[in-house]
Amino acid sequence: MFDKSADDGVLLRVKNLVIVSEGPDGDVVIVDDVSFEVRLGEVLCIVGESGSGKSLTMLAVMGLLPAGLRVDSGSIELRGRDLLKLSENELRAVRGREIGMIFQDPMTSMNPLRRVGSQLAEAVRLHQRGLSRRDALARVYELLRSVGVPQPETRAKAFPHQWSGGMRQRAMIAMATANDPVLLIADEPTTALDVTIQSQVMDSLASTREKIGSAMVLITHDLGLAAENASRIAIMYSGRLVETGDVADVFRQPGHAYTKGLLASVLTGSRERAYAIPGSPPSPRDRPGGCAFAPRCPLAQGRTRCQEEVPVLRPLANGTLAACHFAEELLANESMLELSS
Amino acid sequence: MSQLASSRRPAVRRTARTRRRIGRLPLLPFIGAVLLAVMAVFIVVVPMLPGFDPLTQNLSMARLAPFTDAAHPLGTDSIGRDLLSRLAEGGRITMSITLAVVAINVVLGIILGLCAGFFGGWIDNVIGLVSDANLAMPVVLLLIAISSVTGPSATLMIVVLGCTFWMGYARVARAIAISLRGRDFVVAPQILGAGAAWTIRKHILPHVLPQMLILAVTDIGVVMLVQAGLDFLGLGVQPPSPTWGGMILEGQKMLRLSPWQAIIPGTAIFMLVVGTQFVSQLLTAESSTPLRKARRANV
Amino acid sequence: MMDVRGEPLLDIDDLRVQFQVGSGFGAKKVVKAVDGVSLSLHSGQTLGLVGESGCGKSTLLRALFGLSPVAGGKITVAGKDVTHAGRRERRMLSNHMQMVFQDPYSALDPRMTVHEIVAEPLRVAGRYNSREVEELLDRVGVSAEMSTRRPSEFSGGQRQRVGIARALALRPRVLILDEPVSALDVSIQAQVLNLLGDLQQEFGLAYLFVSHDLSVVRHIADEIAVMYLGRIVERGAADAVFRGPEHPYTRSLLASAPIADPTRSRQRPPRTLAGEPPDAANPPSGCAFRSRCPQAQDRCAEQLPQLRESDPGHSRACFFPEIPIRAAAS
Repeated sequence: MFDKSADDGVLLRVKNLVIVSEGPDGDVVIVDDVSFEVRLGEVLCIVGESGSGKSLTMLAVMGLLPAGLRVDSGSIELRGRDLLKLSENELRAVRGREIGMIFQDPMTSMNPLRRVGSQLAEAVRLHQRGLSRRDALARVYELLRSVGVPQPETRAKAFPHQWSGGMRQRAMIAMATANDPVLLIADEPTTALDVTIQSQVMDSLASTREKIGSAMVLITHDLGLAAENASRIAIMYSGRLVETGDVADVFRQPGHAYTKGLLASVLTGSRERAYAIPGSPPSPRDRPGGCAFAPRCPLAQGRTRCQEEVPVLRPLANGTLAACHFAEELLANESMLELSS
Repeated sequence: MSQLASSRRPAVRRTARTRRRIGRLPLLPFIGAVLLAVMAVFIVVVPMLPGFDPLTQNLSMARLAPFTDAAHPLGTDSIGRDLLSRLAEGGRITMSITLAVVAINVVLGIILGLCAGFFGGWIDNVIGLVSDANLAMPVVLLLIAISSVTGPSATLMIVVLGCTFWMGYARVARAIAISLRGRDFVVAPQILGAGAAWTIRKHILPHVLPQMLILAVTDIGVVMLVQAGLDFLGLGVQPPSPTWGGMILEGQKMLRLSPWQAIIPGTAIFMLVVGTQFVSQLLTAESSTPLRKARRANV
Repeated sequence: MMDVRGEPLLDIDDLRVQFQVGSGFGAKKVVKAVDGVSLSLHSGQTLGLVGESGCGKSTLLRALFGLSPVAGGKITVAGKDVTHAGRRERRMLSNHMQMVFQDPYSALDPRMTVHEIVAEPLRVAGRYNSREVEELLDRVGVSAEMSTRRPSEFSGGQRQRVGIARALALRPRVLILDEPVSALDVSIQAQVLNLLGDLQQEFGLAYLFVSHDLSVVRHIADEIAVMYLGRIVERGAADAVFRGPEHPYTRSLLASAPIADPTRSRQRPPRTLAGEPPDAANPPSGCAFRSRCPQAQDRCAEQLPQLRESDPGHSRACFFPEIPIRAAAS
């Protein structure tokens, strides 16, 4: 999967990405050797719990890592061009034109004292210089209408706080897709929204994406959203990629105990005890040597290899790639989780 | 169930960090701390020295320049009193008045500010009104007016200055109380059955105190200057008790003949004000870290 | 289905909470945040209260503790009317009913140690006992050596355990759980839900479990009440409501929740519910849901539907509950 040539439809290729946090006691590895690719037009879901490094990985792709964090090694290629080697100006152009971004809370990215319409028009003009204010505003109305904001002319005159969360997120989608980017990055776009609004926004996102034919990386902790939207899925745990594959394969038969545990802890209707992965994820500082999931893993109990050797992603019989020394045992033993629950 | 994975070691780490911080104290606060320490030692130690006598006049020894006489290392003033003793005694009086004034202001400010912020509504309005009225009051004029009736005294000055600077503390305390009163950890004790006094004391006051400390340290310098000014105008501590402001007042008349008479107490005030300002910089940087940490963790 | 369990531990009868908005020269408006809600909760039972943000569920919870202004109705806890209780009665009330907050980061005072946090209710009540605090912490899975640490050293799940220990300190019989797991990661959610289940069995607790997450409520609740714009629109046994939802709002809530199964979720029909909840200060006439309801008719604008029983123990506030949502939409 990683040795295919560049013209196989791969849009984004992240290779051996390492992100470190610079601290007084030295650097701490936050994202550890993550490699994945996004093909043209597909939806890749990166799933992980808070602190798994899923958001930071994509912030690194956009060149937006917060202060104190930096890419230590690895490469991020968008259509064959290494984004890590670009200047800040070139990156900015990439962000507006080739990559569109949607964040969890659009409220924080808007100026509360300016009307929504003029802010959006300004954003449009940033990438289409020479557009008149009036034309930019007309384009904003058109964009808003396309993502299902009713009466955009009236609403554009309001201030951000007068917009509901759902409407703000639609506006965000409209802006992110304004320049027909080849890649959309959506970081927990509906986490702050109610379920009925979430489904509206996800529908709007899906239809807009299909219209412009871009690929998307959807970052989420919600396995339901992943199941409904992804073509492929990547599971992260403690800064590492532990499993990736077609969404159907991963859900049908996960090749990593963490994936399996996550799927098992999804609540079903039954009122029996929920399956809970024992313990909690380690902080990057206290990440154990070897497999980071080993202390919580039923496969790893009493096995020194899991404690000593970091497993690498490798193809499995179920069709996925998983980073586990003993994945075959998991595949062979359907009821593996009962060992620990 | 073992839940310790995420926080196995931090306790050790934290003490290590604290130790390092003291070693690496930034330059200005370090200088400030040294200045204050020197002043404190000076005020405490000098009165214990054998020749300590701030009041006795000796006209035959008047206007001795500093460093010329072993019995009077800092020289004497125009009526022959020992300047070293007067500086220490003046420092003691000036510092105790200043601390008393700041303490009254802090306590007043915290109480009124927390009440205004926590309860809101009409209580907030009334306290706001009082605060505005107080801000509009000219202190010096007020002090002159009252002392024309009662005669000037240190107590009067403490009382008047004590009701002059509390508004700043109140404003900050109120703002913090407002920002905290909707937080769940402040609502929780009310659900537990705790009353307002408990909630304020246990959950809001601890968050306010560090800020108050910073303001107070900064204010020490300000209050000292104002008080020196009032002494200088003759509205504060009455002669022959020395205060730094009073010493400058006396020295100012002799500026040509014996400039050290004003320069020595002036330098002392300067060092103390600078010292407090530098130290308050450090406190500002260090303050409210738990709250900020909590917020950071929240993100 | 409804069995007789004697007097309910918590009984909310026709509760109304109103706020005045707009001051100064503008005309004042009354917002009915909670408008005639009746619920009751028995020992050992879990009642799931479901609704989206702004539906009034948080206001309702605050009203239970005297923190929002009650305009009408009655709240009874363990047989005692506490609707307008004074401070002394509230303190008594805290022995019967306690609350667990949604956000484990904001619910614990960052300046206190975990031990102090759990000790606080006991101190307020004047019966602090350090061994009892350690036992509580131990019971919820926080080890003794961690009790001298501050919340900032704890993960979200551990903080929520501390919040639960604090709520249990006075040995209440009713716990009000305000979205207790919605801020937690999936794998931690299950741990906390299991803990809540164990504690319920052990102490015979009654839970009022508020959530916007249907899968969580379905997992833990015996009975479910669905709230929309200040009113209960459907109520019944959990199984009955999930298998055969009768109010169109309940149906669209169920349809909106994503399913974590790619084979099933790809096949299902489009489920988007149009529009957003109306402004509580300016609700539609008649049924508040009619502005988004796919099957609304003239009558819905004219009359306010009341909660009516369809089966024993299952009721809904809708004039046309029998029309399924898809048929009406097409």
